[in-house]
Amino acid sequence: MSQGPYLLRNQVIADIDQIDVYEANQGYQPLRKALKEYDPKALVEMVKASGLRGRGGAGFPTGMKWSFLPNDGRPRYLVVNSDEAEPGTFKDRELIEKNPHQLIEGMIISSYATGAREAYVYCRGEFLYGAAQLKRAVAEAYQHGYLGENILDSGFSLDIKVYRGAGAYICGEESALLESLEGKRGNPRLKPPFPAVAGLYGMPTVVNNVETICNLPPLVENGPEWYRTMGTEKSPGLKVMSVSGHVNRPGNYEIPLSTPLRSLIEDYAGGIKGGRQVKAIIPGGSSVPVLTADKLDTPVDYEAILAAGSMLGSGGCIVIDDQTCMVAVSARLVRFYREESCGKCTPCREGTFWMTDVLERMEAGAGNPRDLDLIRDMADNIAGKCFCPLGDASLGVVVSAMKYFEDEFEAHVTEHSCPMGARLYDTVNH
Amino acid sequence: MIRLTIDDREITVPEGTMIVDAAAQLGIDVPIYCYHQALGPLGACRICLVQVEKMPKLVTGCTTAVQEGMVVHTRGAAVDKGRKGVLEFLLINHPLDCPVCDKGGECFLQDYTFQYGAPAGRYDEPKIHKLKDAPINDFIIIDQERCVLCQRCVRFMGEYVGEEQLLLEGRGVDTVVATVSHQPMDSQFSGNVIDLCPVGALLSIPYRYKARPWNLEREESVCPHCPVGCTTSVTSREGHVIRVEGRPVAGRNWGWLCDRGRFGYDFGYVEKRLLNALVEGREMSAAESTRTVGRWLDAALTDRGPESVAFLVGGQQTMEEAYQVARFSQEVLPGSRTAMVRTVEGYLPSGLNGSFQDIERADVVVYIGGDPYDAVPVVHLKVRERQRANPGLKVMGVGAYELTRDFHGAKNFTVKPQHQAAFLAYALAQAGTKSQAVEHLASQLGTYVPSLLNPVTPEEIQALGRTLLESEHLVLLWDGKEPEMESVLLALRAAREDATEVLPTFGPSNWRGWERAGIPAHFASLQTIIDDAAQGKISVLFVVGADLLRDYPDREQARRALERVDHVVQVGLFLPEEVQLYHAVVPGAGWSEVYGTYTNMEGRMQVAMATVQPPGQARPLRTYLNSWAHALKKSFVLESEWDPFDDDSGDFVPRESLPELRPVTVPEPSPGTPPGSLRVVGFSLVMEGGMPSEILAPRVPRFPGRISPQDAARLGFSEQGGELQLEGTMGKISVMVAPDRRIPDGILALPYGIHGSPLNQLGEGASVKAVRLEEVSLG
Amino acid sequence: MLEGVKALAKGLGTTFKALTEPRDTIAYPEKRREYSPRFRGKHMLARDEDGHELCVGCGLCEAVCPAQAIRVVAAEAPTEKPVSWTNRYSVDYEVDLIRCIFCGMCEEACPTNAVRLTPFNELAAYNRLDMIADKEELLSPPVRR
Repeated sequence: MSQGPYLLRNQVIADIDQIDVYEANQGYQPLRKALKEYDPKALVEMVKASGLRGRGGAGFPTGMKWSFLPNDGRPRYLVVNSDEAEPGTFKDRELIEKNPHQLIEGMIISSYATGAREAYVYCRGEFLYGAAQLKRAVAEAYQHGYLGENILDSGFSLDIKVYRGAGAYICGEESALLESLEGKRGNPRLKPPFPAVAGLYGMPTVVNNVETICNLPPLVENGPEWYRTMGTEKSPGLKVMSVSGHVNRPGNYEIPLSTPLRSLIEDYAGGIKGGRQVKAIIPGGSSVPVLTADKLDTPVDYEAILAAGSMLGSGGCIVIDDQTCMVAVSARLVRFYREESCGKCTPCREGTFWMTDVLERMEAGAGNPRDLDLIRDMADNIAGKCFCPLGDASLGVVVSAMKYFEDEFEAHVTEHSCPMGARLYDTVNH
Repeated sequence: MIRLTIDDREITVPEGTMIVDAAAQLGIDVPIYCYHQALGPLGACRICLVQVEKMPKLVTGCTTAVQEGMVVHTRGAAVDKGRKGVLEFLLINHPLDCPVCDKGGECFLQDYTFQYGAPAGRYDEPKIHKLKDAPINDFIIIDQERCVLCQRCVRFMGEYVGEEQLLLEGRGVDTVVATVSHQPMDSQFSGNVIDLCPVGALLSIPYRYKARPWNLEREESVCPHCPVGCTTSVTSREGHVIRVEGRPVAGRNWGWLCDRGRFGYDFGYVEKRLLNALVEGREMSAAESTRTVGRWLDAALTDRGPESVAFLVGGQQTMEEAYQVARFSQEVLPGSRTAMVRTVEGYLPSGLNGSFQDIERADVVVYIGGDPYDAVPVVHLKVRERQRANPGLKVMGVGAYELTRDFHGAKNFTVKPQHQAAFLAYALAQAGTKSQAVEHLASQLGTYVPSLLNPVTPEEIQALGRTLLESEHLVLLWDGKEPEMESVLLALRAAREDATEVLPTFGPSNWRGWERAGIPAHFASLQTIIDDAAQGKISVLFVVGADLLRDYPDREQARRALERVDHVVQVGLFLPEEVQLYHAVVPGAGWSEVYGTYTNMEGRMQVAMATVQPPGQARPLRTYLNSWAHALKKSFVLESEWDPFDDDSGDFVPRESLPELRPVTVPEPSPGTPPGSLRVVGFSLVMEGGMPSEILAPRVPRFPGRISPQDAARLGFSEQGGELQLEGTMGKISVMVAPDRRIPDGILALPYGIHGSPLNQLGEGASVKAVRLEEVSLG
Repeated sequence: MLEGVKALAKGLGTTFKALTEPRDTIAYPEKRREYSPRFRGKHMLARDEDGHELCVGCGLCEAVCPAQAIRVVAAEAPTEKPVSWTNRYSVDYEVDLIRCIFCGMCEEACPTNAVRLTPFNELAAYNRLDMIADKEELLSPPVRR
């Protein structure tokens, strides 16, 4: 139903990362239109009308976020969160590596709408190529007069700075990102005040995900009514889903929201490898609960997936086939959170550490029946008691996997072996 | 105001209060590790979980501000389960080595585990090992395994003190507290992290393994070292002081101490402490010495009358002792004179004296002459706290060098030595006020135009004058160096509509209290006695709790005075400098050994309890006064109705009405220091001079003198500094100096009372010839 | 007279009868009484296999002692010359055996199992001070002769 990709045009247009190719394909036309035909308020209204929701994970309506900025004359900042480190999510990487100008154009439009004179891209530390691409593209945009003083004679000026993080997942959390951007230790801040009130350097700040910002050029070009033709009433528009795991064609796919999961896996990602069956799906990156195979017909939109017992999150869809051990999956994912916990709050710092130890011991065959209750109790002690969402995120897969695949966990502690015969680690590496 | 219910009890608190603080007001104890009212909420430890009705999850009481109609439950199944879980998490990597931990018995991790924790652990995995027993400076040891990562220490040093010397290293479960670049922490506020640490991660080295809480006796006390008079609690075991901690006073102070006050408590036990009397070079018992002194006194009275007896007192001891000296002088020896030993000549009328509450309200703080960081360290923290609360706070410095540290938007006026009073008078005159007092001042200035050592425009001087006159809450911190400043301050008070508050940063620490008890504090009274003594008019001179040669601004004159007096009797804790000049030295008792009242720079009277017995034959002053009176066959009854608090002024000494303005002398244009010469500027450094301490020895600055980097380069010093020989008209000393970028060229800032390098051998403001002695080897 | 002889015989009868009866006393010190293995006598301070003292001077015995008979002063031992198994040890350890009520709570409180109550109960001295057992005395446990 959609006429070819809007966000992932790099998949059909070669070399769109070059500014001349981008310009030749209507690049920077939406920007001209925005600057000429709209005033900032109208743009915010348009984004509100489109129903665009943040693509970073929480799905907060973007227009509403923008309208929270206090009107008190203080300088404002736009910060684009490109610290994409969620296991299973790799959409932003493609967006900045393959089509950086689309992001820059979106940033200029957003800055114009929100009144920011300076915008930052906070790039994940490991995105060496992505950051280089962005920096090159920003330089090109300056040369072509899309950035700097008095952009396209509109009187609007903007500077964009590209900042590379130092390799911390927690800096994907907006307040930790701001701390890191200010040169401090990447620990999340106390909220309130929210970034919209006191963000970067204590000033009103909009923090948006790369994909959210990339939605703006097509949105401005085609209007909010077009945007609402896709998806549902509450989750309209396009979404880039990163499909990985046991599928034949892993990769990023741009889908209109409300496409069923089955269609995503079978039509887009080419079905399961080796003709095996789906055992579980992690629909929104490693932080969300798993869905079992009977939820395959759930449409991919915020509400439906929530109703099915998970979250759309950042759109990192990990497909797990029926020969995979869920204890191993849980152990591997919790270890990720253990390594990435910033260490600020107790439950996350110590809880993920302990849980990793117990899960890895179980996976290595050294579990005992008390461990299942121990993990449940630990999860209860972490859930809702952490400073930021990372602690809760670490539980998503473990708790749901224990719910849906309890027998598998029990087998690990009673038989001291894995019914799948699978083993993630040969030895437990403490 | 907001009304809420906590555990079925209603309370009304101001908006923005955190739940834990509201609960504390009701006497409900919510466990806390990371939160501290002075540092603000952090929300890291998660132990303060409470349940708020209509909120889906438990919330942390330290980060949740109260809301109208909130219903909070601080106990209950869910809350207890949450706390139990957090404690279990905190303990999984804790070494559980309480038997060898000094915090054992007063540890919040122990207390809360006992109260909320699980009876047994479920953790079977190997624990993470970190650094243990590692000193982070000469006073503090860190045990990273015991740390609960509450960040209080890191935040205190970074945000509160502004000296980022501690940080979090690593992440996740490997996070540790460490010093920056693993260099020793050298902040003079470092000891506060020991008080702040809720567990046994940061511990005191001097107190290491010394005692358990159940061995201890704790008494409320006041720090005697500088005029701030910080509230402390003194801990002793078996008659020895073994620890000093800050004692917070609700609504007044947080109990911060500087390292001088926290670790300098061992002066009672140092080798230099007098334990026996020394009469004409012979050691004897204190009782015998009193009879000898009594005979001297008797002879002096018979031969030359009571006018030939004088008392010079130090002003560091209690007001009660001061009162005893004053009474003794008036009743037993009517006609004898008393004076206080002073290092600087200035005097501040009590009517101008402000309090620390004024700093809490200030919008402008002006340092005159010296940096409070050096002289009265905790006041520096109070000013910083004010700037945290009011980022618009203006901090200004008027002195011979840059006085303001890293205050945001600070402005300095670097004035030549001894020109500060004239400069401020000039600035006031420039501001164009109609005030008579200021016009009177201005008329005395004549054609005086100040020349400053740092680039300052005439407009900026004018602006300074206007700020002084027009700011709403003005607080001045004056180091008492130039006596003429008194008149400038009086004129300023007369010209201002709003209150002018001055805090004197000069010592001796209890001078205001001694004045209140009847000992004259003006420098003139001291000078008269010294001059009379030097002319042989004094027969018996008592020096009580002072080291005359160390403290008097003119060392040569003081020496002459001691030489010409028939009998010099010293009562003190230590042997004075050049003890051969004294005829009798009798051991006195001091802080922590006698009960008494101290008055601080606010004029606030505070009581310090006696904690231990004086060592050896050391006796309280009243014992000596009584026996001397007895030797004179006079009756002297010390018990009287006098009490320092016996008036309507509450904790403060009564403010007296302001004296008349005195003329300001216009400084002569300084002849310009000849090349190779430096002008000496004295300043009080709380780490230097004063009472000796073996614990603090490593912290006494190796390079107490400060010169400008240009002068250092000219003299051929490395960045570290070296030894300088100084020769003035009055004498010659050698002193270790280091370059400091805050010092202008041609100035040498030197602390008062350095042992072996006495500034009073040169004279305040003297121009001295400076020669480099030798390069001090690096490292 | 006969009455007197009768009484004498009766009295002596009791005496001779008692000679054959089992004794209630023992011939201390030639013979000594057997005590329960859990008998609580004089204290000792134990060492580990390497000869290091087990006592770390934590002072819990001091805290728990209902008779306030124990005094502990701890200190830090140099790493190269350890006294106990860790760097903290007790410099002074005194038990006032006159105050002590031999309740055994010190033994129970000891986290390192250093304080133990031996069965030794021959506590007598000519001097009050001799009844205060110092550390040296406690480290060489009494042996019953």
